[in-house]
Parts: sequence; C-alpha cells; structure tokens
Amino acid sequence: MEKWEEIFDSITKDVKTTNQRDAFLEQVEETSRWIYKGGKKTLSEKIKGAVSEEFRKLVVDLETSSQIPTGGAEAKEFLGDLEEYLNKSTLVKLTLAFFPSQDFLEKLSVWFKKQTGKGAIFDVQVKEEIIAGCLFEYAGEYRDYSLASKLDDALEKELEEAKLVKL
Amino acid sequence: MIKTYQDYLKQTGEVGSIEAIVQSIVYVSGLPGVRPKETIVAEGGQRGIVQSLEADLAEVLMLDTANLTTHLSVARTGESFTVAAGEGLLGRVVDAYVRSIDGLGPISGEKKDQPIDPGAPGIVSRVRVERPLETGVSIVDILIPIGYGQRELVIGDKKTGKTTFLLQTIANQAAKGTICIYVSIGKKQDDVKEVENYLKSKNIFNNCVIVGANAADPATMIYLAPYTGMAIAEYFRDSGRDCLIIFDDLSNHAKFYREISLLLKRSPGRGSYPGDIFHIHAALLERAGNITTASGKNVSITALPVAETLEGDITGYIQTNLMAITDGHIFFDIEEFRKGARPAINPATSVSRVGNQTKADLDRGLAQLIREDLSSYQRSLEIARFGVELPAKTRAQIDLGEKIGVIFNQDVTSILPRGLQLVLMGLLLAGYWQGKNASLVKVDVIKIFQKYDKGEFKDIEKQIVTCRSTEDLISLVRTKTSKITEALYV
Repeated sequence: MEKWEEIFDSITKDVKTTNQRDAFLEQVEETSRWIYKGGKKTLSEKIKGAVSEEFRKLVVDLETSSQIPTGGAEAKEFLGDLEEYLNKSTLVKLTLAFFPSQDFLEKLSVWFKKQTGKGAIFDVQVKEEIIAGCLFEYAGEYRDYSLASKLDDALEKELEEAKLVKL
Repeated sequence: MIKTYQDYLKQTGEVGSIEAIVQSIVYVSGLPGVRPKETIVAEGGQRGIVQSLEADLAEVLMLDTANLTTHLSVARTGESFTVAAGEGLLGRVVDAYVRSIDGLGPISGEKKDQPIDPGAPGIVSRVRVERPLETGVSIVDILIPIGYGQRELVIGDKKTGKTTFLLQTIANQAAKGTICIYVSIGKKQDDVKEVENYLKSKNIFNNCVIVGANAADPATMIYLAPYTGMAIAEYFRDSGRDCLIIFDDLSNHAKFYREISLLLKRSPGRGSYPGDIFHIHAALLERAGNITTASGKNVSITALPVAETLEGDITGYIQTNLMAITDGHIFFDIEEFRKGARPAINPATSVSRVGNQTKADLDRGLAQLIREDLSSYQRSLEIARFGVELPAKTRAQIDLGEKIGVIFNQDVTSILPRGLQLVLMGLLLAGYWQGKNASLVKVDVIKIFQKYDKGEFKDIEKQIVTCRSTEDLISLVRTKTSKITEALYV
C-alpha cells in the first residue's frame, strides 16, 4: 500500500465525510468487479454506466497517467489497497448544529492536518439541540465545545447560588 | 443522583465504541485511559466491568446485555463497580445488583456505595478468633465448633442436608442479633423461596438478607452474586455488627466463572477451569474474618461457603481448593445420610482448625470424651460385623455410641442452645440412660425438647453453663436426675 500512498492521497482529496467515503468505496468495489469482465476494453470503458461519471473520469485520468496498473491481478491489488487506505483513515466524529458545506470541511481538514500531521474523515452528525459549537470525538477523546452545554453549566451554577441564598 | 452516560462523558472526556459482542462480553475500542475493573456505561445505560486490556481493545463483561449493538458509544466512569448497601436491605430479597426481587418495591432508606471487590482487611486490623459461634446443631457445636470470624466449608453431596443445617445456623444466629446474609448462586427460584419462607416462619427474617442469582439469570449476575453478598456483609460489619454469610454454593459459582472465562478466551486449565479460579475464591473468602474497628470494637464476618460433591468424592478440583482456603470443613457424608443420620455429618472426616480455641475447658473436655466414645463405637461396630458373640465392654461401647447418635440426631425444626446440649450430654455421661435402649433414649430426648420449649430446665441450664469441667458437669447432673425424671414422667 505504501507504494501507492501518494496516488491515494490525491484520489481521495475530496473525500471528507464518512458518507462520501462510503459512496466512494461502493464505486471502488463496483469497479473491482469489472476487472475480469467486459473483454479486452480498458477499465474505464468497462465501468461506463456502472459507476458515476465523476468517478469514471477519475479512472480515465489514472489510466492516462499510467498510475493504475493494467494487469488484472495488479489492478485488483491497487483497488483493494485503496479500499484499505480509506477504511484505515483517521475518523473524527463531529456533531454540529448545522450541516457543513464542502468549503467548511475543506478548511477543517486542512486545520486538522496541520494539528496532527494526518488527514481525517469526518463523521458528521447534525444535532440542533447543541445550538452552536460542536461535539468532537477523536482517538477515544471526547470534547464538548457546544453552546448548549455552556448554557447548562451556567444555569446549574445559578441554581446552586439560588439554593445557597435560600438557605 | 444517578449519573447518566452523558454525565460520565462530560466528566471523563473519553469515549469508546463497541466493536464486537460475544454473549455478555463486548470488545470496546477507544477509551485510552480505561483501567481494569473500571465500570463503563454505554449510551443506552448498560453497564459493564472492564476485565482486561488488549493492544487496541478493552474486554468488558457487560452487566446488562439488553439492546447492545456494535458501534454503540461507551463512556468511562472512573469508578469501580459498587452496590448500594443500607439498613433497608434487612428482611429483603435482592438480586446481584441489589435490586429488589421480592415484590415489595425498591429498597428504602439511606444507602452507601460499597465496592464489590475491595482488598481484604490487613494483618494489623485482624484479631484472633475467640468467640464461639453457636449453630444450634449439637454435633457441630460440640465436635466441630465454629468461631466468629472463621471460614468453615460445608461440603457434601446433593440433598444431604447442607442447606437445612445452614438455615438452622441462620435461625440461631439471627435470633441473637447477628446479621445473616444468604447468597444463592445458580439455584432454582423455588429453593430461594423455601429459604425465605423458613426464615419468615422463625420470625428472624428482619435480621437477614437474601441475595438471589438463580439458574435462569445471566452468567454475569451469578458470577457477581457472592461479591455483592460480601459487600453487603462488609457494610454491616463496618456499622459495628457481626455478620454471617453463606455462599450456596461456590462449586456452582466456579462453573459460571469457567463459562465466562472461556468466552473471554482465557486458557483453560484443569477441568477447563481458568488458572485464577483459586484466587477468586481465596480473595473473596479472605474478606471474612475477625477484625477490630477504628473504635476498638471487635466485629466479624463469618463465612460458610458450600461445595457440592459427587458420591462423596472430596478430591475434586474446586472442593480441594475450597478446603485449602477455609479454616476447616463440615462433611455431609452420603453414607451417613443413607443410614438415617440427620444431620448427616461425619465428625471423623470433618475438621475445624480454629474452632477449638473459642471453646471453654468444659466444651473441649466434652468433645474429647465424645470423640473417644465415637471412635470406640466405630471399632466395636467393625468387630460386630463378624457376627461373633461380643464381650460386655464392646456391647456397652456400641450402646453408648448409639445413644450419642440419638442425641446428635436433630430434625429441621430443632435448634439446641448450648445449655440444652450440655444437659443432654451431661445426662448421657452421668449414666441416666444406663440400661435403656436407644429408642427409649429418643423418646426421652423428644420429651426434654418439648419441656424445654415450655420453659422447664432453665434453672438447670443456668447452673450447667457455669461448670468448668466434665467432672463438674457429671456431678451436677447427678444431683438433678430426680428433678428431671419428675419433669419427664410426672
């Protein structure tokens, strides 16, 4: 897998979320099924109609630049390693009060890579109850930066003080 | 206030995810700071105890298995598993999580969180076992005495009367104010109900707690039940009261622990039991004992673990482990049971390693005499088997042995205080039943029980307990024979 890591990095640069990753993996799997079918056509011709046009264009680019092996077994290994690369990507669970745009995710991804030196795939969940901010889970660590929890803490503090005053 | 998954998540800042589920074991990823024996809580409120840590996963024994799915989030609690113990437990039947199962609603009153697996008391706080614990069963109190703080194994085949003996002990001790905890491990619900009914019929259930984990419960609950019982005993001990705890039975507990260990992929050892089977029972029973509290008071937890044998074979793995851990054993012999002895205790193969030091000189002297007579009786029986004509001395030894057997025979409902036991033995040794056969002795003994229950012989009993030696006992009883005869036959 190491020999193709740079290629994988560039192929998957737009895959930011788990949904995008799952969709991408489906198409990789579908492509893998076509390796030994369809006669002597190129892989990009074989998968026409079976995968999205965007993905097919990606495969065309890889064939043009000879980045994808032409032999059946090597191509299978290439696609298998690509799947493994995506499945092993660092997962960051993010809970937001809104669904983020691609730009937002791009900026977040760049920031994350700067902090940790690794790329990440974000498992984004939308929860309007948090009002603003985010809930962040990475490598077993959980952090609550939501506005809702800050308001809860402030309210609890007020209630404690009110109880003391009553006493 | 009971904390939820969200509360713990905020508090600890660590989260994990269930990667695999194998019956009641789950494998959890994440939770970088989790420790063994720590409690974890899942998003649905299910709790578990961390058993071990692998490279990437934590192995967790789940206490609740309902609605567990893979990828369910899990949070650390930073705490070890505790059970809520309090005065409200007295007179109640609870499960291994201290939830009421007697249909009388939740446990009321103030409660304290007791850890289920603390360390045993250290050597500095331990005190010599000095006070005798009366079971109310004469053969045990005279020949195999137990002391407060002792651990005495009760071992024998199924249906030989072990539970009956234990219930008589509970009834006697609870009436004296000892807190009695009966832990049922893997038994039928009917059996637990019978225990509850017996204790209620003796009007001592208010000093008892029953912890029931029946055979239909998950293996995790059955595994935890003895630890819960011991945690409850420690609560009452720390509040300044003596406790008696019964584990019925630990050989069953070993089987369920084996099941859990095999699921946890622990290497099976002898009999497929895990290598730490000795340790878990030893660590549990070490928590019993006689200790001195910070205020200087001596309090105790007396443990009576039970082990089942098959056809009297006491050489089994778990049985020998428990015999090594405890301070003696009371052997319920299937051969004695078949001969009609009740309780079917074999005094020759039973032992109490620390019970003798709790006894007064009178009791020790009496026990020695009885043991010698019983030993002579056994030898004489062997000679009689040849069918030869027996000399008078041998016949007298057989006769005496039979009479001792009659006195030691006690039914389920009889609980004999020490004084009455001494009266009976004193009468026997003083020759009161000389020339009478064993059947007539049995009739007299039944009459003495009946008269005693009505309040007679109390003054004789008061005088007898002050005797210092068997000679004093015999001479005192001889002066009272006419009074006794009058009470029995007039």
